[in-house]
Amino acid sequence: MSPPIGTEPLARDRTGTMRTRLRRVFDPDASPTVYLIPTLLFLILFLAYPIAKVVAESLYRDVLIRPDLGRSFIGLRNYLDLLRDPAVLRSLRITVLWTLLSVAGKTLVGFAAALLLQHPFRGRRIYLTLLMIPWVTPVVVAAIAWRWVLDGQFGQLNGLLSALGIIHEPLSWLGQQGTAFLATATVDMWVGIPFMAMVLMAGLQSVPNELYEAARIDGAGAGQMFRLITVPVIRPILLVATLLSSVWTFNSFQVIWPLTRGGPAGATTTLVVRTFTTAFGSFDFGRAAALATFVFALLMALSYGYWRLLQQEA
Amino acid sequence: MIARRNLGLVGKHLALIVLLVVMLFPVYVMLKTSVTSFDALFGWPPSWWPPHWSLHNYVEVLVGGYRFGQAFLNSAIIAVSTAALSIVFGFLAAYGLSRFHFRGRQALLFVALATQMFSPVVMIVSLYQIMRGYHLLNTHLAVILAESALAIPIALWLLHGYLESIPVDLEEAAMIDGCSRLGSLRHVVLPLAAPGIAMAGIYTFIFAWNALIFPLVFLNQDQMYPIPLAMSRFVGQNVVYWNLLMAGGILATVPVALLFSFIQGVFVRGITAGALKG
Repeated sequence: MSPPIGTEPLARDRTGTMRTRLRRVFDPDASPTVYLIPTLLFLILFLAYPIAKVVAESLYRDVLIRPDLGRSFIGLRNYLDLLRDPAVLRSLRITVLWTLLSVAGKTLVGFAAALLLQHPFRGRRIYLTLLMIPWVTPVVVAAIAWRWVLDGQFGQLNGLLSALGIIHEPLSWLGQQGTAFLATATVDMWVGIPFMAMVLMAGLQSVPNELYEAARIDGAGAGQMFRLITVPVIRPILLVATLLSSVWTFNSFQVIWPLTRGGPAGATTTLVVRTFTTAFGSFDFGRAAALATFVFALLMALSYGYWRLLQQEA
Repeated sequence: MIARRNLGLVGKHLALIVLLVVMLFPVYVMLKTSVTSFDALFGWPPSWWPPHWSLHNYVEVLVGGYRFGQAFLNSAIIAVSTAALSIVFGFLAAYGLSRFHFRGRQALLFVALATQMFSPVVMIVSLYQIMRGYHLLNTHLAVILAESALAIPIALWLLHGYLESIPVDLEEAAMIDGCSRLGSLRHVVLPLAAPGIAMAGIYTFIFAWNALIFPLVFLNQDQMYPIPLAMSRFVGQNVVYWNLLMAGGILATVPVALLFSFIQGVFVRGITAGALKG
């Protein structure tokens, strides 16, 4: 007989034999085991094991195109090499700046859009639908479209800016270090703004309308209402959204790779791009694994902070 | 007062129009280029309206020997399989986590959330070695398994949130009436969770449809390529067929846009509202 309502164990089962106890663990009525096991197995096999393997690999010298060197245990040598490599340090700096710039842009524009679309008005649905277009465009497609927009000779951006008299000859946006850095970050913003706007709008809509009405009756101005009602409500959501967005931006590969492949001269080589090119450009798997482990540790630290934040706000 | 309000409304519309003009600029360029002939692409200054517009590029993309249909099919195989795996595994685990309280539950939820922060790049080195070891390189299965490993936790997280919002009372009522837990899962929970499942399925479908890095590393035969990789076929030795790239890009966007408009509807219909009334 199965227990009527689920989870509370029946007293007689506690003193059961090994076999009945085992049966209870796998009883779909009384225990979560059967629901969790398949997923856990899958994730252990294809998520936990690969990560453990990356960490282990990072302790080896393993260069695919130098079979003469063989695969040998070298302890933390890969990490020490990374720390001494100015290119890696440059990548770290580029990643941090690129992430900060892109997340700041996404947050500012996304928040502005959310504020504009917060209250119902005629035409709001049309704006919302149009704003979602960048979000539904596959990222690689978006990056390729932008590459054409930013084309150094015939790009529409060059056409627009010269028609406005801002530039006099076409600029090679993706061909120069500074503009390539800005352009890739801008494309990343473009991809991420709709999502940010949507999340923040959901947050803003959780403010009961009565609160605004009461404040209005009490004679509060728009600025006061924003400061005293909107900001306190949106603060935790804003915090979580920017943190999550930072992690995703930090990880962004799909934007940079089709646009610049990390160039020119490494100006857009973020840590994930460098990890990729170390593994599948120079085929130095040991070093790439060390880089990946470093990125993983950084992201775990960020996720832990994110989790604590969620717990605190809940 | 009314005048001031109207002024605010005008300002709001103005601000939104400016924002959207900027946001949709590349979309406009994409649409325009997709109906422009190759010969008209490279002129200075670039035209704002195609001189003679035609749908020829779309036809060329589909039947012009670029095997875009095949790439479309490859993307569909990868995305549908990933979504299916994510729903099955994600739903079971989400059910276990939301209906049973046990030690380690919070930790599991944390792990599911933390995986959303992984970059595929972190695992690509070892996954490549693992897939090579199992002779799975250059198969769609390798891509599907790797994408699923990242998509299942997303589905789990979405479905867990959804299941938490379905009141347990309904299931308990069914179980008191003599339904087993699996029976109530099938006849009560599953129908109620259908919108959540659709949402998770579509989300993971889009996730896999966008995949770049796993296919890039695992697939090396041209006929296995999904759309993001197949786009490179429109790039010649010394020339880029932007007109075909843009037409192909728009074709690749259509399924995602359609699916997205569908989940937007699901979001709007609050489904369990009223289920417990009366």
